[in-house]
Amino acid sequence: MSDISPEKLKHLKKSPGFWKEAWGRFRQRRLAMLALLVVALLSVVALFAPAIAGSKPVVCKYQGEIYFPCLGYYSPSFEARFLSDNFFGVYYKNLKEKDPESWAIWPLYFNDPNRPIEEGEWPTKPPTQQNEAPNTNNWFGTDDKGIDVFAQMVHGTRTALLIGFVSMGLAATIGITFGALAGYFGGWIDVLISRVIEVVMCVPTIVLILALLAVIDEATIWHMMAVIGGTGWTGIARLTRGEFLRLKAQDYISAARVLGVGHIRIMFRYLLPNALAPVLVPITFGIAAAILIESALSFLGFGPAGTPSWGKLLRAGQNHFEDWWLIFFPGLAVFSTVLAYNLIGEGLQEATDPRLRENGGE
Amino acid sequence: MFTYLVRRIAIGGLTLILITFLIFGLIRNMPGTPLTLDLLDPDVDVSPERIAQLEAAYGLDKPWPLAYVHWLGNAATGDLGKSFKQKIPVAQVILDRLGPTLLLSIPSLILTYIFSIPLGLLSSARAGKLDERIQSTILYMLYSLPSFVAALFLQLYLAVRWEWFPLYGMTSNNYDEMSSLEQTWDLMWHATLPVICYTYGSLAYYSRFIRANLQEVLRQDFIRTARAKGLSPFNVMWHHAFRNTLIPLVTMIGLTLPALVSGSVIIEGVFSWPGMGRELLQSISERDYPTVMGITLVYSVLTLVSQLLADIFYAVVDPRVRIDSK
Amino acid sequence: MFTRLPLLLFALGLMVVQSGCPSSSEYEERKRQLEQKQAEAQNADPKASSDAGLQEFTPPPLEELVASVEWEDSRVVDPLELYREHLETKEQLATVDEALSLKNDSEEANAKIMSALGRMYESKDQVNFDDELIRHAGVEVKSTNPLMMSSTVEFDVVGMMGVGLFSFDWNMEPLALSDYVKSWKTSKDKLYDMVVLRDDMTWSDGTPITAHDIEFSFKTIMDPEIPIPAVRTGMEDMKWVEAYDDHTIVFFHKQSLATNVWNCNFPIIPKHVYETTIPEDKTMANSDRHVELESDPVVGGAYKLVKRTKSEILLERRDDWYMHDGKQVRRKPHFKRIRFQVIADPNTQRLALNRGDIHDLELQATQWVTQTNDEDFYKLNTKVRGEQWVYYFIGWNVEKPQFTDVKVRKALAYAVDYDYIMNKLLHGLWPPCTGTFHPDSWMGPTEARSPYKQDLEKAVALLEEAGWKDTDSDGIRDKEIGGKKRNFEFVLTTPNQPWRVDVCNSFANTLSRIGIKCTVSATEFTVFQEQSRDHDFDAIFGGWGTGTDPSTTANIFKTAEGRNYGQYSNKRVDELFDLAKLELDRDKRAEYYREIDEILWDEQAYCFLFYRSAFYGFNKKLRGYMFSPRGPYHYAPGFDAIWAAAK
Repeated sequence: MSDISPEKLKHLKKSPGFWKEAWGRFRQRRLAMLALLVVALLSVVALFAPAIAGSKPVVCKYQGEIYFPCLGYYSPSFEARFLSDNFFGVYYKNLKEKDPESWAIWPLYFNDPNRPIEEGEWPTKPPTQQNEAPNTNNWFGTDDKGIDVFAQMVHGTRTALLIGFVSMGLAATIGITFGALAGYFGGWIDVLISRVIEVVMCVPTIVLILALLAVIDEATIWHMMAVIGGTGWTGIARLTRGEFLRLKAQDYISAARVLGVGHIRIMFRYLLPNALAPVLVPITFGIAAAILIESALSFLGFGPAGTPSWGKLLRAGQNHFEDWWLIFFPGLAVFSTVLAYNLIGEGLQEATDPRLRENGGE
Repeated sequence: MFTYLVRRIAIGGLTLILITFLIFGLIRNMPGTPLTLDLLDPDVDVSPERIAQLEAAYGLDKPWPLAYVHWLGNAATGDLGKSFKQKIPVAQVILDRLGPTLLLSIPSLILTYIFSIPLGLLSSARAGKLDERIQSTILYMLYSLPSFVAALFLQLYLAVRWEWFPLYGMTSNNYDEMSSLEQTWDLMWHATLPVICYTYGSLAYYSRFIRANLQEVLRQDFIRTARAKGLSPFNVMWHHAFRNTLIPLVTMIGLTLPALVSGSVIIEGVFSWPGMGRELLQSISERDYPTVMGITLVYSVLTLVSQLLADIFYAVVDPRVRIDSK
Repeated sequence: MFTRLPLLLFALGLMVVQSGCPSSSEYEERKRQLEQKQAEAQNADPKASSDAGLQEFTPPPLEELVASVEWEDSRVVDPLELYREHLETKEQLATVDEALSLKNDSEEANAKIMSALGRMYESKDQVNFDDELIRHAGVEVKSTNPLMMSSTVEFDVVGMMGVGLFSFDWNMEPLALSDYVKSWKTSKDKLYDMVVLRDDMTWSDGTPITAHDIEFSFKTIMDPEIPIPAVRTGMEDMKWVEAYDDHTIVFFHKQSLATNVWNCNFPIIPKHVYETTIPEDKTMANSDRHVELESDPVVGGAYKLVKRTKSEILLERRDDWYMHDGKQVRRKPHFKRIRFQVIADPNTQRLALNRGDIHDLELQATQWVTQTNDEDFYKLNTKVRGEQWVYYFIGWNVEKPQFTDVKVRKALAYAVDYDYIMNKLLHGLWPPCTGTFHPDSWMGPTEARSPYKQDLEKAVALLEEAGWKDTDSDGIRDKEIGGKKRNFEFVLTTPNQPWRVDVCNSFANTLSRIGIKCTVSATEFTVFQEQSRDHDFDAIFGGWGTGTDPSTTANIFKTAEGRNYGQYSNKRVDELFDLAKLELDRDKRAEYYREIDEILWDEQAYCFLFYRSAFYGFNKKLRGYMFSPRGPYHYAPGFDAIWAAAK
């Protein structure tokens, strides 16, 4: 027992807490921050997709009222006014003709992710051709349907991000919770949860997906995410369970129990940070894997039909390998995302490792 | 240990019943029946009597829970029934396909570990340095490449342009006339491209996994001690650190064992490899209930066995883990 | 060669759209329909049979039959001779060498290649009779039993091994094959068909093929206890088949119909093999003997099965098919061996063709346009195209409130972006379709009809006339139906092949521009069929092949018929179909069908879209191919005409 004088005690700072400290360490890792920035950038792109690439004005004034037609990509009600005036989705010409006093602010990149641009839709743009290599009008080229690839990628970012985060978020939550409970408590809880894990593991995902698609008329991306997340948590659970089994036998845990620390606290404040390292790997890979799963499903012909996605572009690329841009750009995007997520994961892992807190609170 | 085993096996049996029951219910209640594809031309007035006959032949006349019990009873005696479409016993269908799938998945697993372990170790040892960054990046690039794109490139260049490997299939046209040695060589030659497709993507994952575990272990006190004692880095890495990463690795193996038999629908499709993955997909599409159930059963049994093995192995590898501890 | 008339109906029906199995609640409905049909049949023939099997019938003695009936000779033909005669009337537009060096990038080039390479040989030296032809299959063959055929692959493979008496030529005219038939007479009232078989045909185990095999096959198919999934179209219109001796057989029909001739086609199985095995195993699939027969069937056709694995089937030419007692009695089949390899992925199929691993391939439209133009393809192959009478359409479920009004259906027909879909998505290769009968057929419209063109203004005008306006400014048109406001939303269901999904997406996108919310649902084939049959859909994107006789379309457009998925109903159309079925004079029948065609077009029962042309890549060594409305293989001579050139 050392001598702690009151003066020394004053110099000790209050511990900022595990997560804040982790964040502080994370910030120091340049690559991880860069990766985080990339993901943030992608999120911005996803959020503002219709304003970045599209054929509908971001905001316009028509017959005295302000409208936001670009949100028509999300819901038709934003274009209702233009429907009744027979715009047929073509704005430039019609705005000018029907109301000479109208003005419009256009997206940064004028192209549509769902159809080719027609003749005369935009003054300087010729109608979109099929299978065009990247050029000034189509930065990433066009696919065999004549639809611009860049616009598809921009609008597909939302799918790509969501699919990774939502499905893995679901999987991680379920997996870590179940695994922790099973590993920590052991006994019949472990038996029960392990059985649940086994049952879910044994159900072939493809059966679930086909069953789901057969029953639901309008299979949306949310359904796919629920399936991917709902079946993908078993690995995480097993890993977490294994770690908890291993770690809970350690002395500091017994000490905590003796001190009367509650179970939940022990699990999530003492054990989980230590158990995270191996578990983070499948999670970060899983986020990226979700995108690949989506493209594989799209290759096999399953999944929502109407929305653009990186996976669909890759599939088109497999059928038209001579159009290298169909593989290159989505492939690059997937690769960047994978890299980014993994760098973040690495950063997280190193930031949360308690062994790095060698110098305590000073 | 013995009681534990017995208990686990008994529980496993119950789990198996639960799983098969769920799957059976699921596929029986999906729209469409095996007859859907048979009765193509309804212009043909197939009489209700005949339809009833066909349904009886397919076991569709019973409500599905009853049909399940029927199936279970048969399965318990080893009779998995006959495939509706192929008219041969389901066990035969599975055996036919298991071999080809294993022919791809086992070499792939071995290769993955052979490459990932050194890659992971290396990556851990040279963490943060430029060459390690480059290695990681290349591995991520491989990981991000979807299998059907990779398959395409392999086919285009290695099979079509340069003709180093066959384009599709498991055997050459004159396989039957070959000697045993030539046949083995022929199989290996055909399996090369699919195995590459199976393997390349997992390298990133496994090596990263090993590295993550290693780094975590390396930060432990006993490693500092070992280093302080003056042991060589290799010694430290191999004798002290690596062994402690075994538990998660064992979990991984436990998780990948079932994957050995499930096969990849895409790779098998692109290379026309007659494996389990493709068979499952087709059976579901054709509503070939016995085959789907048979495959699910095999897969489930394997999964359960591998989980059990993993659990036992935990206890063996780490003395602190008591297998039925509280 | 095995003939597959009604079977081909399935095949093409299968290729594009299939039906599903009636649910038990539909039994009552179907039973009612069947009873109705029986009542109709009763009027024509007092000896109406129940559908649960063949009703016993004692055929009159042969001499009596021959004497009492007025007979006409029917066509017995050697299809290869027929083809040669046909070729003599056509000019050869290029030499073979020229054709082989051409790239098929224009109508002209296509015509040249077809005319040069489609020729038959002058002398046998030109043919490589030892050649092995490697073909492919998208899926495996499930059964080699001719009675169990149910997929296109099986027609191809099993067809080569099978025996059939009848077929049809490229004009869809029926004929009997001189390979098997000596003479064929039909009664003037079409109630009887009398065939005398040749006496020099044997099964692969040496037993002669006789009329008793045919009679036996018929009885087997009609046996209610044998769960043969696909009873042939029209076979319930047959009363009886009697083998009077080893070589004389008479087909008895129930009614005097022009379509009777097509009913005589059914697969033939060897009596001496199956008469003992079927009684112990009526499923024809379970007993050990039956399982054995699956890999080693006894066949009567030109080729026999020598190897069957899950990825490959190997057929070999039967010497005892064209030789008999040491003499050659038939043409020698052109290939020594034919190999079918399973290749599921279309891209791999194309690469395999490039490499010469397979020798023929049906190409998709995109593959034709963008991927078969380079040196890699032309090194070993050439390609040809021809018209086919397979058409695609959007089928409206007219019972749904959105589609009951003809105005709405017409509005939607004006909405389709034909130019984009046909010229861009389908690369301008598929001609438009304006009705269910092809203009070149005998029952097709006499004047060309101009197809709809996209006109969004008109579409909107019609929609508003029909009462669909966006009254609540949510961007979707609505209308009050049954007291409730309904938005114009619907689900367009399609099987999940990429090109079909693309077409549907284009349509859905166009509709979103005029205030209609259309969701595309891409499903498995099985689910698609099931939903179609149960009328459990709003709209479907489907396709039909052509039957050999227009009466088969009754099943699609008559009220409450099996393939009338959209529940279209028009009394006059029903009437016309019935009249046309019973009419024997072809011109009169044509008139009826033309009227039906007009009505269907006016009422937009379907939104008829386009015909699918046939595109094929062939190895440069192959010759003798020609396109029929059914493609290059499934007619007489069809596949049998194809030969490999000797070096």
